Formats: sequence, C-alpha cells, structure tokens
Amino acid sequence: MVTTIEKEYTVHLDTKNRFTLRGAKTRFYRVKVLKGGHVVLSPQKLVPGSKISKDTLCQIAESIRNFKRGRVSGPIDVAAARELLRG
Amino acid sequence: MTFQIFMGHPEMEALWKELLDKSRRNKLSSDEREFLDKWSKALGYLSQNPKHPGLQTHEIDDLSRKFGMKVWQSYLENNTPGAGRIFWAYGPDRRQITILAVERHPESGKRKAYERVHLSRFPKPAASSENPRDKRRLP
Repeated sequence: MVTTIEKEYTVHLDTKNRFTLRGAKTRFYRVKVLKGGHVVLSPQKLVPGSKISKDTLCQIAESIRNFKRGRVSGPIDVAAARELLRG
Repeated sequence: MTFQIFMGHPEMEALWKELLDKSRRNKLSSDEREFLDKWSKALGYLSQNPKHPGLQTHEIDDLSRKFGMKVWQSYLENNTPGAGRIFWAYGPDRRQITILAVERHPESGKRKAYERVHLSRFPKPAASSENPRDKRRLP
C-alpha cells in the first residue's frame, strides 16, 4: 500500500483507554494490533447485502470449478422433459 | 441456433433426474411439478434463444469479475416478484450452455435483502461490548 502522511499528531488515552481520531473520514475501521505495539486502522464502509444467497453462491463456485476442469454433466434432453410434462 | 444444455453441478443433475423420474411415476408433488415445469420451460427457451425476452437474461457483472468468465442470470418466470432464477455460462464448447445454479425462491423478496447492508469484512461485535459495565456512565 503506497500512501502519504496527511496528518501526524500525538494522542493520549483517557481513563477508559480511548482516544479520539481527528477528522475521521469513515465511521468504521478494521483494527490491527501488531506485535511491536503499532496499531493499524483500515477504513471500512457499509456495502449492500448480497442479492444472491450463500448456498447459491457456493453452488455457482462449485459449478465453475467443475466447468473449468471440463467436468459437466451429459447433455440434458429438455424436449423430452417438456414432452413428459405435457403427457 | 440451438444450444445443448449441461449441468455444472452433480447435485443439480441429480435433482433434474429425480424430478423427471418422479414425473414418469406420477409421484411429483404439486410444488415439484410447478418447479419442474418452470425449470424445463426456461431451459427450453435457453436452448432455443438465450436472450429470449421471457427469460430476462442479463449478465451478473460482480460474478463475472469474481470468476473470470461471463456469468448470466435468467428468470424462471416472467413478471413475478420473487421468481426463481438460473445462473449459467456459455460453454464448455460452442453452442453449449452450462447451468451453474438454480434458485427456486430467492430470499430477497421476503427478507428485504436488497435493502440490507452489512459491514464489509468487519469482525463480529466483541463479547466485551455486551458487558453491561461498559455501558455504565462515568459520574
């Protein structure tokens, strides 16, 4: 991630271990605490929920995996099925 | 121009065969019969003309980007809210279509999935935030 420093300031924690982010641009952050004591905040945003259910997405992913390996079913006889339903 | 139809998932193929088998033995429930009727009708249109107006076929860009190949969606019914849908792709060869998934009842209509929002890659709320002591105000 290439970025430039826009602001740099020192904060101190209050009695409840909180500090204020100055000029925060988003409401949500992903917090990563590194071993050396550094804390990284990555901005998060709200996104629309998926219009496709999880099960269907899994099925699509699995089918595409099969498709790319050339593993699909034999041809489906749609006409015969229609005929069967009409009869 | 006609297309051959393939199933991309063994479970889907098994479902198709099971429904046909039940139909032959006259054992289909009314729901199953209705579903098989819509599904086979949609596959019939798809094999004749994937852009048939009744299918309302359109590409799902997000899925195409995600899987690196064009993924299309068609509806099982026309002008019906909450209609079932099929997801498919062209291939494996020319004039062939593979069905990737079939969804009988999208959940969107019932649970307002189109309006729901969720946090992108945001962790579940920590258990500590449910601690009533955290809500206590300082004097």
